[in-house]
Amino acid sequence: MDNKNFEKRLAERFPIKKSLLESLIKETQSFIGKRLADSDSINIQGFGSFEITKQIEHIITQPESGKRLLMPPHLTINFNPSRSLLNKLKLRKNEQ
Amino acid sequence: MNNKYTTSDIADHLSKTCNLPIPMSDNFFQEYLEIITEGLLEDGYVDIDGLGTFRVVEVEKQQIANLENGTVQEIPKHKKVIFVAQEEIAAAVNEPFGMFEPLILEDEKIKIEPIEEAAQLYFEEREPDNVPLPIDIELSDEPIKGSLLQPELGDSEENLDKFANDFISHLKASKDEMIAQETFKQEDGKTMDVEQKPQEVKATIEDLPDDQIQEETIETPTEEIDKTEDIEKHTDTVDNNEQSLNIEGIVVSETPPTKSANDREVKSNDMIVALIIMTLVFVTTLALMWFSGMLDNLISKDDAPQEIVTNVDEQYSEISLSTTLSNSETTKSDSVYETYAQVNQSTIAAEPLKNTNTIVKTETTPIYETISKGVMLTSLAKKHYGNKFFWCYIYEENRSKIKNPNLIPLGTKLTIAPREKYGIDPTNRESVEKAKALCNKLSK
Repeated sequence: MDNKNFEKRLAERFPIKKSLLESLIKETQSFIGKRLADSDSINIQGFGSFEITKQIEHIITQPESGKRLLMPPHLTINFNPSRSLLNKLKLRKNEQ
Repeated sequence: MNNKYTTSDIADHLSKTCNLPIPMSDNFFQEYLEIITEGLLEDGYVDIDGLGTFRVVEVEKQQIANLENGTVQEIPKHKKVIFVAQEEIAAAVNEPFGMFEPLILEDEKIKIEPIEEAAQLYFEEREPDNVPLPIDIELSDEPIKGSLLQPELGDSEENLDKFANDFISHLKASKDEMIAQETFKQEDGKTMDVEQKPQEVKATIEDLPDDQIQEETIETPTEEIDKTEDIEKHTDTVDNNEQSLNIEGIVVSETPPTKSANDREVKSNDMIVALIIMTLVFVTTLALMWFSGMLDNLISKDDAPQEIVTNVDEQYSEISLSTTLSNSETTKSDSVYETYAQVNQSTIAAEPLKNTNTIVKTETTPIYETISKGVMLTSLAKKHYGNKFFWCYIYEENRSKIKNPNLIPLGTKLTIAPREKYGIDPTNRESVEKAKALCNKLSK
């Protein structure tokens, strides 16, 4: 599902003004982005949680050139899906 | 920082920013999440602009060992959801470590070359015919087994070890030789090096071929002869058994001439400086004398007597008025030249004469005194001439006004002549005696 279909489906499910809908989508994304930038965690019940994890420095080897790279430490966003979401995915697979 | 936000917090934020009731914003957010879940289930991914991409990834079957029990657990094939944030959000999250970049590690390639190859390279670069080896070896036409010149490579491990040991010792010996040569060059002239040089020459002679040995044996005696000649030059007694001591004497005796030459140069420089200082002092003294007028007196020696004579003549002519006629011109000239001699001896002595002349000139103006009650000629003489016996000169000066010196009418105006007119000098005994004689003559 791309962004266009996402917004179209959201507009069908939540019939409000388009401008208000766009502002709601924008505010939701900015809130999540700001909170994660502040190293906060967001726990959404029934969906999953966003957490910031620190990946320490490590050495990787490029398979093509054979060169070794020292990767610096960096902070990444880790998404842990909730059990209900995983069950839904599992059920979906079984149905298929 | 490290705060936990829930769905209710997001709903509150949306209600505040968009002016919506909290249930409505909560409902919107639930629909938002529901559509993402549907997208994951239907398409396996959801791409949302401004947030990121949710993607379903299948994980293959895995086997995990349980460390506590030691048993192996099998994890079946399953799906997991990953989230890849957009670059803007990822950069904002990784801002604390954003300045670091991946670093390429360049590992050093170390190639271990075998000892045999290194030795071959060393001897190919070296020219054994020109450079003598410091190690004692037997020079022969036949190739030497196990020697440094032609090592037997690859025979056995013992030969290789022996060759490696010889190679290391050869390097050490060559290094010591180079250090010794450098010290000999730098400190040539010191007794230690002079004594060491013949030994080194002998050591190299042993390593050289016969032709070179002959050349060295010819050169070394000449050096010794030169040294002994130097010894004979600087020392009287030369003993062959005490060459080392005499050589020390050379070192000691060679240094003083250089010092004496330096001392001569320094002395000559000092003499030049002293001469310059003396000339400067002489010039300054001349200049000072010129400005003080002393030089004029010295230069005009011929003119000085005439001036002084005239001055003294004037003085003497004044004196002669009060003196008897017995003083002749010869005595006058003698006294004048005596005063001139005094002037020549000390130039300062001439100045008082000039000063006296100026005083005389200033005192030429007569003084007038009026006779009052109690005023007598003796009192006036004592007042103006310093001695009462000089009253006769006042009488002589005012003879037209005074008929009787013992009875002078009141109110008579008398002229007091200057001292020089009559040669009055109260300090001079002759002058006083003359005045007394004149007074006695007048009183009679």
